Amino acid sequence: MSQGGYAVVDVDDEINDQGNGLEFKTFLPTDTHAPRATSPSPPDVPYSPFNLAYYQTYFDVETNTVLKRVGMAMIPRPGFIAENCDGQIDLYGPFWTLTTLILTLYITSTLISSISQYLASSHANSNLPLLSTAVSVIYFYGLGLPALLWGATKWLGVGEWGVAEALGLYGYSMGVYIPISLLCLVPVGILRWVLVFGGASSSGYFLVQNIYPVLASADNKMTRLLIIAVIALHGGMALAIKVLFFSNSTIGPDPLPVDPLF
Amino acid sequence: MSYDRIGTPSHQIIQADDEDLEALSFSHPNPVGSSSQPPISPQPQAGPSNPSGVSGRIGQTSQPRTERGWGGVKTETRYTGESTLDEPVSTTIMRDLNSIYAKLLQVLYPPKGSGNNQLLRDWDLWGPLVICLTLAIILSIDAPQEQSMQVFSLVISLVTIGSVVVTINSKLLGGKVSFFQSLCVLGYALAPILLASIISLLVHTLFVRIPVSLGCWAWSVWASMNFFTGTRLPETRTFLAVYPMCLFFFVFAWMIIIQ
Repeated sequence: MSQGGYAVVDVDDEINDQGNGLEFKTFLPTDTHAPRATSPSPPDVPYSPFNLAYYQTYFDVETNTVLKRVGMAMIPRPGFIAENCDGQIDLYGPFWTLTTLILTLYITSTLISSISQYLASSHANSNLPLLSTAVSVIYFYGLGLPALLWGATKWLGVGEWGVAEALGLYGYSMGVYIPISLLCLVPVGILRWVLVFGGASSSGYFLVQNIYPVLASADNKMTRLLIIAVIALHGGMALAIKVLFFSNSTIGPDPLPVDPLF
Repeated sequence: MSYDRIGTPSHQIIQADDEDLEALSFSHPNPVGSSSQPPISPQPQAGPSNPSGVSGRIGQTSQPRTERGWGGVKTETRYTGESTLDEPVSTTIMRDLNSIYAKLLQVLYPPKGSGNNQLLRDWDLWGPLVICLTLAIILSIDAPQEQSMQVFSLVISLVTIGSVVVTINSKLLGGKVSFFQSLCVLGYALAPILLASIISLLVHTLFVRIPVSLGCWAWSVWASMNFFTGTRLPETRTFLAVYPMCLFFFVFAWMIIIQ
């Protein structure tokens, strides 16, 4: 800052600048310049994984649109991308749905264990490992798995969808777990199983309804068997959520008591 | 420790003037009167034709002129108004501390009506680093013994990754914001959370901790929102940019509550 009496200020390289290159430097809300189009049209931006403007097409959404999509994804129906997203899926909703789910799972599970420790009047520990567990489990299932699935379908010769569609479907399908994990605060063992099972079947049905047409469009009939893997992994995911985050301190009968892993 | 000059805008903090930036006119450097007195509004400097004759021109030969191309790196050279070559080290350190304090004040308690963000255009990451480290240390002291290292690393990585993700998110939504400036503001906006963690370290009652944490969380969100409303996002997208910030700060508020 005091380098020989001068300050050198770096300003980010603005990719989507068309007219006035220095316009982005002022942050005054009283600026009189007409707002330009905030998102580039896809043909203008050359494909590059390092170009931030390329990804802006997936973030060209508005608040009401995102809320509507999150709500509609909780109702399992086919044709989610075509009907609710107008054929163009965004990535804002999926990513922040997953992040919200991580935070919700962390909050509810730490609250549950804190209350139980308070009732048992034992020494409270903070359960911070739950946060890293939630981050790794949810992000792997919500971001890593659809990418793998997309790669597998690409390898098997299904060219119908992009990786953004896969990520979007998985991300939006996890949204139903957010209210469910809040409802899982009720410390009744069998109710938690019912809730998690209900959420798993709802979002699993949503996934199958939306992924199976893509798989069925391939020439190779064996591709359709991938849907079994999708269902199996989804069941495993629901079980992991139940075991990792909602396993302790239940009142009433727990039909399948599982020990917490840590 | 003379913090009394901070509130006034006539401090040594570099101020940019948008009129020059708008008009692309870097051609009238302001002759600075005397070097003993801090200048009211330093101007961006044009190049070797500086008539002021004050020492401290090291940057000029390497960066003679502000680049005007649309692509490439854009830099501004600004004259701070006095020579910093032969000043004591304590003056240098105090100036940096003063600038951190001034930015903290600007983020957390922005003066009404003034064209804010001027101070913040000269971003730094020292303040965010100090705040982040202090928060991590306090939370790890508060944590159980066997978990303190885990808490420390978790807080550091959460602050770093979280603020980067929030910044990228607002850029992807179309906000006009400099990357590091946004990191700087988010780091300074963590200061209320730090305050809450200090309070909850001293007071262990749950009925004090919950309102204090939630209040400080609201303060943090409000402070960062003040900055991000200047990024000129469309009205329909403001919530989309604010929501990740709420999540980001809420993780720490919840950690403080649950400890």
